[in-house]
Amino acid sequence: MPETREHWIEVRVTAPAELSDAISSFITDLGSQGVIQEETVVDTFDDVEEGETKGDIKAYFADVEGVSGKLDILARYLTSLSELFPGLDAPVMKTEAIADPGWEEQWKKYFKPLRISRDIVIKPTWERYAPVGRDIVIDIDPGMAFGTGQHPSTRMCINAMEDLLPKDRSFEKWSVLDVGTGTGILAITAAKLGAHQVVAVDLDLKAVEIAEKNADINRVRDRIEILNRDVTTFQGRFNLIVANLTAPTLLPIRSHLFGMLENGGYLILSGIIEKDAPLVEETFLMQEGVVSHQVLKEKEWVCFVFKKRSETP
Amino acid sequence: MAKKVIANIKLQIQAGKATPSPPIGPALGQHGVNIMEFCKAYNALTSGQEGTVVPVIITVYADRSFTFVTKTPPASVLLKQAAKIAKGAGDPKREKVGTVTAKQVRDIAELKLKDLNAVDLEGAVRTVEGTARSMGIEVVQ
Repeated sequence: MPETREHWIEVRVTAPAELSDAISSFITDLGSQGVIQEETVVDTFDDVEEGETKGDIKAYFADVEGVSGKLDILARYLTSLSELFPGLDAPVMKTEAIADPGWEEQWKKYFKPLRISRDIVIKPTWERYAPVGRDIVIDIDPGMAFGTGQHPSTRMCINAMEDLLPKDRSFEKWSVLDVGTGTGILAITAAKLGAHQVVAVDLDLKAVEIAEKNADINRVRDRIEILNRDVTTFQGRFNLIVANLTAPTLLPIRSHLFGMLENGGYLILSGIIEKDAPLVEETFLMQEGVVSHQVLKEKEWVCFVFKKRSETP
Repeated sequence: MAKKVIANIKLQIQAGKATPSPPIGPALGQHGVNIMEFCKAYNALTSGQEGTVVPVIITVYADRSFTFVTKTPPASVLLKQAAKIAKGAGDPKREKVGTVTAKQVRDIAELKLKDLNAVDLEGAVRTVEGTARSMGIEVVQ
């Protein structure tokens, strides 16, 4: 349970399908962050709520001063609609005050130990797992940060690191930078794969705290430095940089990332959706002395591994 | 074997701005979907369209994995753009806040034909006209 539970007014409007679009638009204009249109529940399954009928629109307003005024405006709008379309069923609005029951936490009961590769298993801290063979087990308590190994972009980074860290002999000691560390999963994996020194940065202070905790749990804290920094204000020299972000965040920092890379070092870029992949590849390859080393793909996600040439020609 | 589907969730949310707060939190949380993963994927896919509502239909499977598809912006959003207004009317029965041409309605209907549940273009045009009236937007020739 979160320590401070946020309070919301849940609004449910039952209306004919013809009016659904206009009502959704009106609710969004009133300041709701969006709407849920409950039209299609394809299967009856235990955890699908009863009574989710066609044409229900659900929205949430923060339960703060002024919310009742918004609800009045919505009620007047619905009345006006029923006058405008006397032939249709009149929209019906219901409201309910609710407290955030920890929505972000609910998926965790389905987070089970997950094998990422032949040797690497990601395990939530609250689950048991008995390692077999040469298993490297990464313990993660994700809190509110990104990076559980369930997302293809994270998995591909781990696979790419596994192909480099223990196998590539070009460096005696690997120093790794993890940009946007989130839960710390990639930094911890790098340390467990034998990296000598790891620096992890994240803009989000909460993520930094979560990553520190995870580094402790995995007993690699002595090799990982975790900083609450914008990577562009940071300087260092690394032979591997891994950045699981998004195309729009990666493009503007490319020169800075390559500037911190040793000759012969590698840059793993992930979090890139297929449609953005050509632009990312083209832009990064425009950097002098950079070659493509590997391209990984899973579902609609692409991960690039670039290499900085050992000697600049 | 096809995976068992436990829910289809349709959301109308702002492109590039998905966060775990409502409506995404309650919509996905109750079905056990990893919300942060959805937000990352949705924001990556809709980056560059900020400021527009991009509807999304999320399919959740029994193992809590999910896939989603994004749709073209709703007719209401396209109507507001065509009428060059920020908001629809609060009392569409008595108040008119803008106008669109019949041609604009037809263009929107063509674009939305797939999503509108209409049998043909004429049906889609009538649906879009209805939405325009519901927003206090007048259709002129």
